[in-house]
Amino acid sequence: MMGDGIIIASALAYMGLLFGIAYYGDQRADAGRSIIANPYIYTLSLAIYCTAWTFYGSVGLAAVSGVDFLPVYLGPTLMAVLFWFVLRRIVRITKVHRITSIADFIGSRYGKSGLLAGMVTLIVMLGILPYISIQLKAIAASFSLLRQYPEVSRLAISTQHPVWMDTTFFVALVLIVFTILFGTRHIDNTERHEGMVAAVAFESMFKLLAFMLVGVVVTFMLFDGPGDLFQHAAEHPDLAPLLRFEVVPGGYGGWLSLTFLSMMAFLFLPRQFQVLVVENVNEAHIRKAIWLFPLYLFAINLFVLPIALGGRLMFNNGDVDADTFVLALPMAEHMPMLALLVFLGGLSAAASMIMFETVTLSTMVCNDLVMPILLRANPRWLAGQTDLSGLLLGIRRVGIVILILLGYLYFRFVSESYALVTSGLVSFAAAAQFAPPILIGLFWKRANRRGALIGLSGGFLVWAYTLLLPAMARSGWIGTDFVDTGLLGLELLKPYALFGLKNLDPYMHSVFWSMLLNIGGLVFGSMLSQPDPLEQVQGSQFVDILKRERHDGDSLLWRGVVETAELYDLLSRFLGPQRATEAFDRYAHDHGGYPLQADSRLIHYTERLLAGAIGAASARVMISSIVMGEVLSIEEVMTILDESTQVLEYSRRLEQKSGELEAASAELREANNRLRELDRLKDEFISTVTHELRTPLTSIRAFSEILLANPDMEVEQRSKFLSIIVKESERLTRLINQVLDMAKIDSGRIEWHMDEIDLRTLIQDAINSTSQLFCDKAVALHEELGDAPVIIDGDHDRLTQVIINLLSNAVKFCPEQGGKVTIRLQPSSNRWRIEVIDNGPGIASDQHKLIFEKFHQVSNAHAGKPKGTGLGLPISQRIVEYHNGRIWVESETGKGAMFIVELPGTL
Amino acid sequence: MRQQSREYITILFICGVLAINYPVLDLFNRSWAPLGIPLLYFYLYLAWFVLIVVLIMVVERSEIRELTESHKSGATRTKGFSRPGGDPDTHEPPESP
Amino acid sequence: MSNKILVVDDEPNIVLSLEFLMKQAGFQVRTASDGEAALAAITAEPPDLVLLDVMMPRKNGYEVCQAIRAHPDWASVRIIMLTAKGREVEREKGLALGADDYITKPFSTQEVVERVRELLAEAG
Repeated sequence: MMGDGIIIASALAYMGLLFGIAYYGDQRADAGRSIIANPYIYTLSLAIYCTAWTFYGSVGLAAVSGVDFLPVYLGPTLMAVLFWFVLRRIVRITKVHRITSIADFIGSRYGKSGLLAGMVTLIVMLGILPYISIQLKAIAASFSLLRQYPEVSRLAISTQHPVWMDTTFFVALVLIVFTILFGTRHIDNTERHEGMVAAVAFESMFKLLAFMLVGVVVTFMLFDGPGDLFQHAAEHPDLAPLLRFEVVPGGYGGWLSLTFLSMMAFLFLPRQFQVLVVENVNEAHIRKAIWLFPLYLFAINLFVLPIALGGRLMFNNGDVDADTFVLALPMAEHMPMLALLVFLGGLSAAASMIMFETVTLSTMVCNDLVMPILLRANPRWLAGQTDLSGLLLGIRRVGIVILILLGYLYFRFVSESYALVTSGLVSFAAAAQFAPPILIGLFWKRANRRGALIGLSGGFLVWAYTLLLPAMARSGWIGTDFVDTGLLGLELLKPYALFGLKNLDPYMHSVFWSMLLNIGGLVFGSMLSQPDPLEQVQGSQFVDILKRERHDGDSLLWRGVVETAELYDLLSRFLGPQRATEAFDRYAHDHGGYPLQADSRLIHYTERLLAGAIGAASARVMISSIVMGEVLSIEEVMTILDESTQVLEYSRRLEQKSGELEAASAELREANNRLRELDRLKDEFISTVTHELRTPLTSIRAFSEILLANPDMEVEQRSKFLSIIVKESERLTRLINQVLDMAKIDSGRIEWHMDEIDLRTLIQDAINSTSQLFCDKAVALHEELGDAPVIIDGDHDRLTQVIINLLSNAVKFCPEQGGKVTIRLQPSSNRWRIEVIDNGPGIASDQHKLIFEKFHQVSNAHAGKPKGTGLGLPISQRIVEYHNGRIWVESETGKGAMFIVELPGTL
Repeated sequence: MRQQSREYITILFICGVLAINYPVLDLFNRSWAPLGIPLLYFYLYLAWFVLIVVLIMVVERSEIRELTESHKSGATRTKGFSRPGGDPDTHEPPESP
Repeated sequence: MSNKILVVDDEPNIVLSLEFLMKQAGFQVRTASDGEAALAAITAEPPDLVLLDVMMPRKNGYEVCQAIRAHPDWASVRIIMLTAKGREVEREKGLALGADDYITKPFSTQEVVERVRELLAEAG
């Protein structure tokens, strides 16, 4: 009799040792000196694949079905051969995209779909329960057996007892405590658990040694080597068939499907994905694991059949459950220490699986299920929290408790009656559902979210209907009618013979139908729907992951991936289609064509072309907006909680930026044209002003020089010349003043003094100041100004200037004899109207608008050249327009002219 | 890993799948026991072991070759980060068009 | 026999000053105030030299210059362009159209007389 105390104490001590290793591993990891950063630890950690199923169940299966236990290890061996093609891609992607779990991986691949990630999490939760349950069952069974020591007998466990007396329940509780201690001490942003990996590596070594020790004892101590053992078996009528293939249920087909299932499960069980991918510290470790891990599997399987046959030979009466042979044989041989060692090996195999699986799963539940729901339900509260790590830890701990308890419930109500391996295979089939979306998604860019959703849900439903529900029904959990007669009594819907497909074992049957729906849904769903841009981006990033090689030198600026067509589109947006086509043709000519997928050289070429049009910096921004490369730091974006919207927002902003840049460059071109036009006008203006200034200056200089050179000139001629000089000087002064006025008005720097003014007095003043002109040319002035004052808002001096200008113009154009000017002030609807009328030569109608342009002068053959500056009318026009008024001329050639000013004002 | 190694691995995988499945497997489903071990088991474990040995040869040899090659060419790339064979990513910086 | 000069400008004061200067230098002077009047005067009696303003109403100086050069009988007529537009292009344009010299306003009275004399001497 081995005391409960000893067993429990050694179990706790062993768990404590594991915990110590884990703690040490975490410490070292925090200090930056990882103890798991070598290929051997990596390989050993992969051996978490070998759970209690392997440790106890393989022997149990071999004792009944012979060689049937092997595909579960041959599958992973074959998968290891493919590591370099498959696993390396997945690891690279995971590192680049900072992926934290298998749900995250699938969600990311298909356009960062939260829905898909949540769905994966749900499938994993349901699918993994049978697996957890068999670990609990194994621990409880081995414990119950060992405490009977040295007696060995078949024990019925648990169901007879209420929950609180059930050993398994307490095992579950202890595991919950340890799991929480191990896995949720703190939150790590990479979701890596170096300490746990170190502990797993240790227990992998431990369980291998324990199992092999038993194998050696059985083969060489109980029997005289393998030859003797097999000899005994071959002679035993019940055991002889176990040495042939015929005992394998499902035959070769079942064998093949089992191999396939375990290949997939090895990669895609959540804990496997965790140790293989997420916990991988260096891609190079994969290389060693390719052959080292199969070697581990080979070693742990070497003695399965000897132990199974030995057990059958030793416990011939069938009193002992074959699933416990590994433990029962040392007990029967009275080897308590070995028995204890085996118990601990089995315990650690089971416990490490449960702990790693539930930690991984609780992370997925937290990140992909609970947090998204919380985010959606109460984003404001969540945003207000500065530190969410406490909440995250809480969610994960609750998740661990619930998962292990659910596993316990499944054990108690469903799997109790099943052998270990049978229940485990249900979980394998669930994990295999992730193979199509991941593997096809790794190599086929077109695979999109809709396809993945259809495929995954189809595969999952078939799995649940053909494996999970029948298992529950067989255990009496739900009615068995649908299993025997099909759902709704329809033969075609029998879960083990869907659509009449008989003669397959349940697993192969389920694998066939679920994979058919899964792959079919993925492929056809993808082909019949269009992926959105983010899905396309993610798809091509995942598929092309190995093309984005790292270089130490910076010789290649662009490491990204982009379709040549996209580059062309970008280029033609800035250069125009014609130039873009020419450029690409030139490239094709120089380099012998261009690839569909632009290489760095073509990207660089395009960048430089763009740089020519919009500058180097902008070109880089533009290129980086379409090139999926290092430039777009995906890591930064990934850290933000609601990543998909962030990424969308980011690309949308880049898109917008590209549009803005394009618009800006168009605007710039237009502004440039306008500037050039303005420049031309300014040039013209200066040229004209210069001309106008030089003309009086020419006369002044010429006459001054003449006077200087001829001191003895006649007095009469001299005074004539001198008066010309004076007049031209005045003209020059006037011109300069008006040019300055014009410049001030045009540039808006003129000061306006708006006030209430009386138009009538204003006109009167203007008449007074021009009276001398009228006298000189003997022009008669006729006034019609009314009697009452006319009050408006305006600038007194400027308006006076306008009236004087109009009056002097009128005088200027009056005939030498009989000149007559009329000035009139009268209301016109809502406005005041000032008319200045002369009886001069008039102005041709095609000149009516031109005379208001700067320096435009009306030439007149009869009157000779008028002595204007060409600025009077343009200045007047601007002054009037400032007062919200209007100035124009009405005239016909030979019939005089009438200038009209209209100013707003109440009557 | 060089192109050649990739080919070896592909061939190895196909051979492995063929070797452990029907009909090859059926050839060894006999009641004969070489060295006292039933032929079926003998064959399966032997095939498994041979597969591992060949795997070691392919993987480790390619590593050696890759190391010496990178040493010869003075390549700056990290050991272990190999790239698909024939990947033209070592070409010169793009010249002017 | 003194040379005949035609002064063409729309600015009466400039015409007056040039007329005075040319007469003082001993030439026979006629005047015109626009392009068409100038051509009419040349047709009536071709002068030896034309002092020609550019900016004028009714045929500007360039047009007049072209018209003179297009006429085979007037090949010996010397042309000096006068302009208040000082830009280099204008000068080139004038010379390209067949003007013999180009003077920018405001001009030095001495220089105008000298240039006129030089040109007439060259022509012999």
